[in-house]
Amino acid sequence: MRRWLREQFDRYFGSDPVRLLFALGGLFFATLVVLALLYWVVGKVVTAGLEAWGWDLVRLLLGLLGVMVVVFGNALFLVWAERKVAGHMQIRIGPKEVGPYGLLQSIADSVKLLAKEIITPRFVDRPLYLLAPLLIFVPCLVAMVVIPFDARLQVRDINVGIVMILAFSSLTVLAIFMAGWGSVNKYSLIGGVRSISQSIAYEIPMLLSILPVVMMARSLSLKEVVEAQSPYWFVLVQPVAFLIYFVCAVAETNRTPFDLPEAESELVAGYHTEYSGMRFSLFFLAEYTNIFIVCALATTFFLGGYKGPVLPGVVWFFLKTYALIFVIMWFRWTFPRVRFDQLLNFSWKFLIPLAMANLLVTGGLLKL
Amino acid sequence: MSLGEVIFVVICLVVALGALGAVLSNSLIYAVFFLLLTMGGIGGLYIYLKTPFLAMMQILIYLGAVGVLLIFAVMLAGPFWRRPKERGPFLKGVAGLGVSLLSFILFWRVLRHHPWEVGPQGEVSTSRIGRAILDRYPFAFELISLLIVASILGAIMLGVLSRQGPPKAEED
Amino acid sequence: MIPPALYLALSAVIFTIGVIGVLLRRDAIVIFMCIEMMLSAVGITLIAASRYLHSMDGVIFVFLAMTVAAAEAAVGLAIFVLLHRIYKGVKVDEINLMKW
Repeated sequence: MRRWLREQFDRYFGSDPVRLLFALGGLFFATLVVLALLYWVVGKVVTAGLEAWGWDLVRLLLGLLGVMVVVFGNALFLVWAERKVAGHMQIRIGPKEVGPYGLLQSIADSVKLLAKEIITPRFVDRPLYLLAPLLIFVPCLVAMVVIPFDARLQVRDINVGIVMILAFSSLTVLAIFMAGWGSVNKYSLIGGVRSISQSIAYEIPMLLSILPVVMMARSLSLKEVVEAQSPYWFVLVQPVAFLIYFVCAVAETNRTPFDLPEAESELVAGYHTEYSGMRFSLFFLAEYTNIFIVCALATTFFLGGYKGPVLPGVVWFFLKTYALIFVIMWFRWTFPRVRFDQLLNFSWKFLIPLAMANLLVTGGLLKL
Repeated sequence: MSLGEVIFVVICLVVALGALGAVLSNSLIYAVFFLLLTMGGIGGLYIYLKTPFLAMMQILIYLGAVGVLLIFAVMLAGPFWRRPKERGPFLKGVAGLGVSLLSFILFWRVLRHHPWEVGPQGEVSTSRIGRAILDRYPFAFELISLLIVASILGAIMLGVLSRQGPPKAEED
Repeated sequence: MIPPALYLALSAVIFTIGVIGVLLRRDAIVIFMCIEMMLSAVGITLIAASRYLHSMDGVIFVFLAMTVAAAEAAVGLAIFVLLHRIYKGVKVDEINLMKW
């Protein structure tokens, strides 16, 4: 079929450039007509939808589109940055072949992951196994909706934004457990169990370290928290809370030194051992998005969010966020993995009492 | 029907089906996830009732705390994987149906004969909830904190007991 | 606008399902889950009532009930784990040591 097409093409156009030009022109106009028709139909549908549902829907869809762009762009960048930072910390160069400074490496990686076969092991608990990679994305998207990237660049300013992020972040644990339990595999299950006990332990100090910020900002809306930091950043008045939050953030995103749920040397890959291809890359994407989100929240709560001189707010926001992400990557090549009892003891016996004391002192000082 | 109402109906269906699934499913872990679906749906209903703070607390407490604890308990105490179908006694089923029918008729009569005339109020903000707790119900609030401390101590005691080894269960 | 009767109906449905679950199932964890379900069902009623009757009381009650539910979960699940160690399984009709 294909060869026949090619022969026909050669017979008609192969020798004659003018004919080829005409053919291409015809093709171009045909495409234009089809596109115009499509445009007209889509326009009709969109206006009908607008009349029915109002501009809220458009705003929401645009916001979601923007969020998806940030999610994918961030993951592509972080995959490259992770390898580059790791390389330089070990006095290597890191990826350099694909594109300038290896910048296109992550695109090549993602194409490879997309092209791989998606394998579903036979004895897997199907509904849980299939649902886990999707569910792990819900908290990322919810958090992205309320994060203020700039004074006006926010999908929606919800007046219980902080509680919302904290509430939905617990879905990550459920998704990880689904993955661990669903793929009937002891490594996965142990990874899931570890992840649950770790996140129970570290969610509490995280909450307790955000509460002083809420008390000082007198609001649960993320935008008002940023606006409340106008003379000085909260990191200057709440250094202890910032440190506790950051440690908990590293633990919540399962990064080294707290990466026990997916410790490569003990459990093959933890809860996503049995996943392959696109499903695995969804977990990967969620992990990098989570890192971005916890750092963005740290920026919002403690580092003044989008506030900063000269440069526009978005630039400041991303600068601060990626500086924090760099620190997390730095941790990875500095600290060895902790033991599990050390991990739990550190949270229950040190971080939680410290956060409580910090909360108490803050409350007392605010009322003075 | 507007978009909001469509979503409302969907949430209602999700809540009801999740509740049914939690009761009827054979696998314990599926029952837990169905229950969490129901709880999340109820959180969505709270948003429709203009109490966003309570909706978030519902999700935080039921999905984040109770759900994770349930999963933990299932992993520590529950039977693994699938189990054979359990059957309650027949009389219990009849009793259950009778009770549900009775309560439903009762409810239906109440609903039919006492329509609410008053219109809805505006959004219940977080600060209003806080004021109401500290102005009108400070005693209940303090009692709740006492209850939480007591339950923490109780859970710790149970943990210590289980570490000492189980007491012998006598057969007679 | 959504009529308040719909909320009440849904709440009744969930409460009834919870009652049936408590009566029919023997697994203590499932019974516990049904109780949580019934608590939440009552929560819907209370909040709907407090919204349509212009009162904050229902909201506060639900808030306190959630806290109680969380505390109950902590102790209850600790008891289940302990029972499982003793009896190998938490079927409510097999746990009859205190029965006279």
